Amino acid sequence: MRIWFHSWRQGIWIFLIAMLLGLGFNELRSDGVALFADWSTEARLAEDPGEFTLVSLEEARMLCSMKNAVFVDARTSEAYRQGHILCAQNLPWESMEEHMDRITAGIPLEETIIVYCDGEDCMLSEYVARELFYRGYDNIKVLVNGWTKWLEAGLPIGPESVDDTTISG
Amino acid sequence: MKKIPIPGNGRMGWIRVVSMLARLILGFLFIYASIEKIIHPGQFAEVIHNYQILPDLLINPTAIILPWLELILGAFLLIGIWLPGAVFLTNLLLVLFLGAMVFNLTRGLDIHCGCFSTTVDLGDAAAPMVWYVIRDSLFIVPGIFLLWHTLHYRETAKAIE
Repeated sequence: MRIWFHSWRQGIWIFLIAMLLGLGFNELRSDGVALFADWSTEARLAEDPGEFTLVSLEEARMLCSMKNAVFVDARTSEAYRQGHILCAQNLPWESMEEHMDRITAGIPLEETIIVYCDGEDCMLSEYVARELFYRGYDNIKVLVNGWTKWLEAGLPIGPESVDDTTISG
Repeated sequence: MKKIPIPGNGRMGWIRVVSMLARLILGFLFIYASIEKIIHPGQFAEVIHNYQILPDLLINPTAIILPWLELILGAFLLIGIWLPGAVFLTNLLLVLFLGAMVFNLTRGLDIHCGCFSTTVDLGDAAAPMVWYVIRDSLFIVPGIFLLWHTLHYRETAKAIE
């Protein structure tokens, strides 16, 4: 029993040493990270656009109505069937590999692609956007919390599937 | 008359050798795992974020402290300093890592492991999470052995001596 207590005490000390070294080294180095950061999608993409950028609801609405972009719904097939942005086709993250070739077959690499999912913290659109980027698409935009925003704005939605059609300008 | 096992001979000798091997394996593994995370804390923070388990507030502190904890644990395992504490924490970390992976696997989130590298591989280059789960389950074997040896066997052997 004593050795368990002993190991707990040593474990706490080891953790404290690691904390001291980690925080100290991070403070001294030039490329250290902030101790606390805003990890919301909007904050991260605003800071480092990298592979894709954000799109506003207004811009997305215009692109959809003018058919100037391909909309990709990264949510599950079931969620998509229940309702989606009118001009969107479904590329569910969990079966992305299965659908990717079919979805991207008719989309030129320079096409604007808008990816969305649902919820402020939803990462699916980012995962799909990144995968599309690695496939050669370099004009990808993410509509954060896209489905909720679109619904709340009363913009056109559809149960119609546009899976087999490619919307391009 | 009951035979008292002598350390270094017979069964106890083998247990010592296996224990030393387990310490070497886990020690080098933890040091190796810590290096790239220490070099690229920002990328490691992104890996932690992708797991979607920790609240935002804890992501950066974890990215800053965890690699150093791995480094210290690895060094302590190799050198043999504070073994009970180091072995206990090593097992705790191994179980937490495995738990995080299994949790994401069960909710269908197949993300980059980030165990030894902070480079995020996607698409064909990425190994499936299930592979990482199997691999990390194997790491637990020497961990459990060391825990048994350090916390139980050493105490028993000491009592016999």
